[in-house]
Amino acid sequence: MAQVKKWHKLDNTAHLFPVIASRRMTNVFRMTAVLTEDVAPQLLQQALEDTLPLFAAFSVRLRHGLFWSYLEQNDAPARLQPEQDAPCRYIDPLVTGRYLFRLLYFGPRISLETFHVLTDGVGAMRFLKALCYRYLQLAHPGEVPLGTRFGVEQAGNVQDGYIKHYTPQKNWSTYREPPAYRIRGELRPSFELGVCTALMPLDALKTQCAGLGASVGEYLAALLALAVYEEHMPAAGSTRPVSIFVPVDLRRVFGTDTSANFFSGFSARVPFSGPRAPEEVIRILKPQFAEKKTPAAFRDKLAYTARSEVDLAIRMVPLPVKNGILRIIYQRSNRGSTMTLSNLGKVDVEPDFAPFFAGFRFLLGATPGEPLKCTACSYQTPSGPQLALTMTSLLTGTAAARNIVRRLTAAGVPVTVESAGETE
Amino acid sequence: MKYCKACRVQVCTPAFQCPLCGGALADDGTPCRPAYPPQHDAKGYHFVRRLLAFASALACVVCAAANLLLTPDVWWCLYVVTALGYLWISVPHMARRGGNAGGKTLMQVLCLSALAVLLDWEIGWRGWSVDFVLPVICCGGIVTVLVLILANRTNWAGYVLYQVVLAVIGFVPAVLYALGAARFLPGAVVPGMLAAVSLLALFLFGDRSIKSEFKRRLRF
Repeated sequence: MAQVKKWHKLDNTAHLFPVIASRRMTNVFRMTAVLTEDVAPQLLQQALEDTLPLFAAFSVRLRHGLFWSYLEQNDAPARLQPEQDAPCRYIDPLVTGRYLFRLLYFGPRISLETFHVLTDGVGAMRFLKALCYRYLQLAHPGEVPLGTRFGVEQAGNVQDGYIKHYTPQKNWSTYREPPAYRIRGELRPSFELGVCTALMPLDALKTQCAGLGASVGEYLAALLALAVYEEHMPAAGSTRPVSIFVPVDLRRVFGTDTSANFFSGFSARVPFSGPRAPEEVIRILKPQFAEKKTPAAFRDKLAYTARSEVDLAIRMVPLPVKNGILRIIYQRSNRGSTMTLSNLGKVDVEPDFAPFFAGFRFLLGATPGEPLKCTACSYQTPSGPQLALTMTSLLTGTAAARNIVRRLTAAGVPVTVESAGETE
Repeated sequence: MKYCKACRVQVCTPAFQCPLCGGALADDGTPCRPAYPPQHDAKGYHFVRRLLAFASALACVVCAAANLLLTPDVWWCLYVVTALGYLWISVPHMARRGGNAGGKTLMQVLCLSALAVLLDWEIGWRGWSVDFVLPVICCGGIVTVLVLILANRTNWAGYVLYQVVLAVIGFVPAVLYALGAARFLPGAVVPGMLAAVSLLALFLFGDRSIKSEFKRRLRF
């Protein structure tokens, strides 16, 4: 008898990604673990083979039914590859053996590039950490605990948090944001992605934030808004505000610890009609962070997005028609944000393995509509906690990154820059 | 490590100039390691494909012009356009890397049927497409998928949806006969019989994996 394959449905946000993904709009993000020594590819391949079957969100291929797409267990061999291309390139399933992620190594760096249909940043970081733990077990058999598997607690949990926390609403409010200012510029050739990471001590940054009475997230959002105004907008400002989309991890909000996508977000908006001081921008942002980041706000938004999957009339529409409608809705609704600031927060590692990690990086693939993206993640180093602020850009030039870094260094935050590009 | 005075930043990846402002860097001599490999051009330029597309377009234009000038009574340039259109739709799909063989079979059945009916209509409808060609193509499609399943039994589930769709298409000649559009009885009976056999085989030999495949594909 043929094997009965395991499968699970796409979570509520994932339906969109296969519809809009292309070489220009890859919907791929990258998580990188920087180790303290160069990676041994054979051992990492072994770690991948050992770890992948445990992660239900990753050991799958995308298939299409009559009404919905779904993710089906994939038994094809998964291959580790040396990093050769620009980050966050489109993942062509025909090249990866139908897998929707890629695992790459370059020097001491292990990078996991994930198509957003599988999971979000938190889910991908879990998989990457489990891979690294397994790799270190294989590479340092005497120095780290063997026998137990680390980081695989929620690996098999792919329940749909959106549907679980769906409560029908009486009054449907729409979530279409008014149009935001769009950054324009010359695109880099052949789908390259400009990357610039600013590494800084978290304590120095927090001191600076405390001086302005802002949280780290609010301060970074203010820096971005100012950079967009100063580098891209006309000095007289624009009728459309700078709108920064801030994704929020709903696992912490609702307490459902799934390894599939479970995030939402809000737009923090700053109108510019002339120069503004950082303090003023923070004053505009602070109430928005307070109002839009509440569980009630997310519950409403979740009810709005999950409704489509609960409504029988929508469910009965054939998949190609659904995809067409989804594409139109997306094109109409994504004018509401100028750029994205995704803050992954602190990345913790198991104490036994901590000496082998030098840091983490988080890269978001940019799109022509949102050619700049910014991410932040922090981690513990021997000299104290460090924050990696990464700007990815589809545009030629590094104006926005320069603006942010110069503002930070002028405020007394020591910054080390790590970049990819044509400088040597 | 290097240092840019203008930006007041350390640079920890190899660089001649500051990656932010392009300014000069002071080097303190400690070695830098690149964080990313050099990026290279990933977008290919398919010269042969462009040449073929140009040749096809040229053939269409030249034929249309010759047709107009030499034999304005018979629109024979339509046959050329139809044939080239068929080639450009069906060959790239067939030659695509990966993809399900069942899906490719289905695509060929649809393309060939459309080509036959279109040509029949362009030449002046005589019904040979629905009487003979359509039944032969349907039978060919059903038999191909059955052979695929027999040859690759562990992956039956991967073909099963195409098997069903092709079986349904197998009844089309019979429907056309009943409506009076086709007049050749064996052409209606043989594909219908093959389609029925294909569906019967599915119901009698299909196991749990087939049932589960249907559940996934038809979940709403």
